[in-house]
Amino acid sequence: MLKLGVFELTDCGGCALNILFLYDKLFDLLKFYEIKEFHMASSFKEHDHLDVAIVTGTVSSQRDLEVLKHARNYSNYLIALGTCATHGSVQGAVEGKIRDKLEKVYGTRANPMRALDSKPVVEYVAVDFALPGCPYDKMELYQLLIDLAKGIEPVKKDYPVCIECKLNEYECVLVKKGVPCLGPITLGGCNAVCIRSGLGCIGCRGPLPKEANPTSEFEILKELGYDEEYIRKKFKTFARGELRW
Amino acid sequence: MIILRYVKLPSENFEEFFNSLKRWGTVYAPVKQGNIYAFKRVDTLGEVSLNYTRTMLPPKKFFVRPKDTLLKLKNGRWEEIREVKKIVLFGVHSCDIHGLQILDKVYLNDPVDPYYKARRENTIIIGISCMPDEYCFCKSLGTHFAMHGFDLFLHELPDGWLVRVGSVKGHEIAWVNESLFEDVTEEDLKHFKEFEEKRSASFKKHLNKEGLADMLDLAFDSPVWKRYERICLGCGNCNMVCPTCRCYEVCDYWINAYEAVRVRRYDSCFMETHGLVAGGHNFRPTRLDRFRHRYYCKSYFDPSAGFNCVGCGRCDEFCPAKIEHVKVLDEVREALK
Amino acid sequence: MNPFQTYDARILEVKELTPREKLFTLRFVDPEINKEFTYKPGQFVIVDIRGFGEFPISLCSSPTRTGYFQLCVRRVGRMTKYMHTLKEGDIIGIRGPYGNGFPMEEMEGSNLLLVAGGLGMAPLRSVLWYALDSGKYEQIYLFYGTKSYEDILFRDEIIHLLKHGEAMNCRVKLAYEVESPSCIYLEKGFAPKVCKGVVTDLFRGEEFDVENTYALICGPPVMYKFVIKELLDRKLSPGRIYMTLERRMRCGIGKCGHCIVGTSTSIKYICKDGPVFTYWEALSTRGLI
Repeated sequence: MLKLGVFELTDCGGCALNILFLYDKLFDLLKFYEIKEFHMASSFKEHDHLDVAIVTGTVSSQRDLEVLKHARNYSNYLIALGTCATHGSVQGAVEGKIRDKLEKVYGTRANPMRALDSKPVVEYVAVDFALPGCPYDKMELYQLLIDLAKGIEPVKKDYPVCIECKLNEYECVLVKKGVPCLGPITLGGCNAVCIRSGLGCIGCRGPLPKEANPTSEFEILKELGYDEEYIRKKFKTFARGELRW
Repeated sequence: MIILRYVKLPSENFEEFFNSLKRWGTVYAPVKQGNIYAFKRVDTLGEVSLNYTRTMLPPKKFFVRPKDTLLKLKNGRWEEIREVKKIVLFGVHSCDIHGLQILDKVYLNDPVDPYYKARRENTIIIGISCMPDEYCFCKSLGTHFAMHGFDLFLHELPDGWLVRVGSVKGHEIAWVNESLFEDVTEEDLKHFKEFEEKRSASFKKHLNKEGLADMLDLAFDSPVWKRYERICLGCGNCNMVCPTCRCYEVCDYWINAYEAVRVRRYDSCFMETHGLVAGGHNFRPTRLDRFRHRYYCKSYFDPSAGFNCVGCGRCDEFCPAKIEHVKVLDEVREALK
Repeated sequence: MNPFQTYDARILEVKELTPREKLFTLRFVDPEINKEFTYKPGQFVIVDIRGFGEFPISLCSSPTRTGYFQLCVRRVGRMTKYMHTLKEGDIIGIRGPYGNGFPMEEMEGSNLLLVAGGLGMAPLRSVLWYALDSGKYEQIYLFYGTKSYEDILFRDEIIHLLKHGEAMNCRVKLAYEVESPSCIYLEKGFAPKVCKGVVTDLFRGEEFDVENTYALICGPPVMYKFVIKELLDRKLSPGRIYMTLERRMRCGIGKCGHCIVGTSTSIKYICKDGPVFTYWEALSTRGLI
């Protein structure tokens, strides 16, 4: 039996909850794993060595950083789960220094909660696998955990959202409706859920590593009539500054 | 009545004929969905978009499915998953019929892909005539008219359809529906000819295929590729919608703790890993390499099968960057002069 | 018959050749399949780790030795890493053999010049043993370029041939890049057949009867150009230079498209039209090497 721990840093809680949403599939995982810590599922907690640790959320406080370091130091394999952990998500996209932000909101630069500028997990520690998505595709996590349990490295996705969108035969909202869709430059794996509902991809899985062509995407959106500031903001939300155009 | 190669289906019998097709299998036909067309299961003629331009995914999706479960792992062994249903593909355009014949060359070649073959054998193809839109360039490639590869082909007439019988199966279908058909008259043939002439004159896009393969080979270092590398998103949409693109990727997925499935899905030569080999060497490392590769692959001329492109216009219609196949080739040719 | 089905093969032996490469000796569980399984040097099989994926690997044993076959696997990716954890008695899936292989019959009665670089030794070992076992070839040369002493694949066999090869009409030469005491020992023992340098250095001072010699090359992509230059300098016909190439072969049967190379004038599937090509074919198909 492998020992599994789930650690939550600052986030909406959805990523941890999404693990429980595996429902009956969770029992397949329990054939290989015993859960040693998973705050959202159980108060049971046993601090010793872990085979696999899952961390969700951004590092936004000193407490987060300590939890993260603990998870890294006590585990063989660390998974950064969800866009907060892999790319910093929305809170990571907020610009400015923490004390300036505190002053703006609370009128004082004091920092009793010992808050930090929100940053993704990957900026603090080395992770063995980063699984983005807001929320991530729970079946992808399932495959990942089963692969690890069976002793093989998981497969990394190499394609943009467009591929899965077409495989599902969804109407292309970018070409056919002029909806600002980041599908062509965003890492796939989500099964194009947003496009299924007629929405444009917001890029929550981050840019397709190395391969994205944001310059062209920028021009396309501009041509569709979106103003540069809007596009820039769209590009920044989940990209951790990786998109250059 | 002796059914010949040509018969006429009068308008008033069309619906009855359509309904009769159900006895041969589940009927799939082009249906409008939002701003695109898709081959979907239909029950009534009213659901069918008879004058559709092109579906987003070509009919290849019935033979090589976008996501296709090939094998299932049980007790450590692969079990074949092969349920074949009889289907009727109603309303296939000539270009797509040609597309399927190009796929046949690959999938029915030794060793035969049993999934493809079984599905192909259990499918009846009923072609339908069409009018080109701004994306079509099938006429330049000679794929605007299908001589074979269908069971029946319906050509629009003012008062019905001129039906070409393309196979023994097609003959049987016509036979069973004998009472619905009439003999073709001189006037029908005149209308048929008129339609074809009108259609022929309606093409707005032309591909110069004169020495295309050699021209492209010479243009390996053309600056045009470099220009398009900057525009191309490398998203693979053109591959996904192409009726002749056939690259696939295979992945194993666990469906429970001990059982897995082997699934193949369409792949795109624009993906980084497409040309990557063990050890990290990539034979097509840049987007330029991949962009050019697609044009090389499409413009390859196989003496027995023709070009790997049928001029359906899907890649143009669904390219977010609005890259136009014919324009790229024209520009490459122009730059060579 | 479903060409995607794989057949149970039992691992009879696992031998560590180098820190990165292991030699797997396998036999089909079903004796019927075992009997029917014949192959040519230069062909490959697809290894199936069920539930995880497949990968292509060339056969490095000789069809002259029946009852088993061997695969030399370098630990590079997720699949091969997993393969390295397998032990004697474990069962994997195999399908194949695929590819055209070397035209061994056509080359009968001629000299064979095998030029191997690194892992390229694996498919050429199949040719080597085939040639030695069948005795149907004149002189056999093996020029083998390796990184270091530790990286020499089939080291025992290579050293054996360095010692006794001449008696079997087999001349083995070895070039190494990284110096070590073991290499110097080899060099002292077998000068001038062993030297520091790259594989093309082994051509120095060698003359071949080009009318009656076939060259068979396998190695990393960068190696081909240099080796071919040596051969062309000696006026060996492009039709007599055979190379075995590597691509991301997925299906092995010319369907999946991953190994397509070429341009609009000539397109080849490495898995079906190759992996063995003549230099002449490489000249007419851009991107082959």
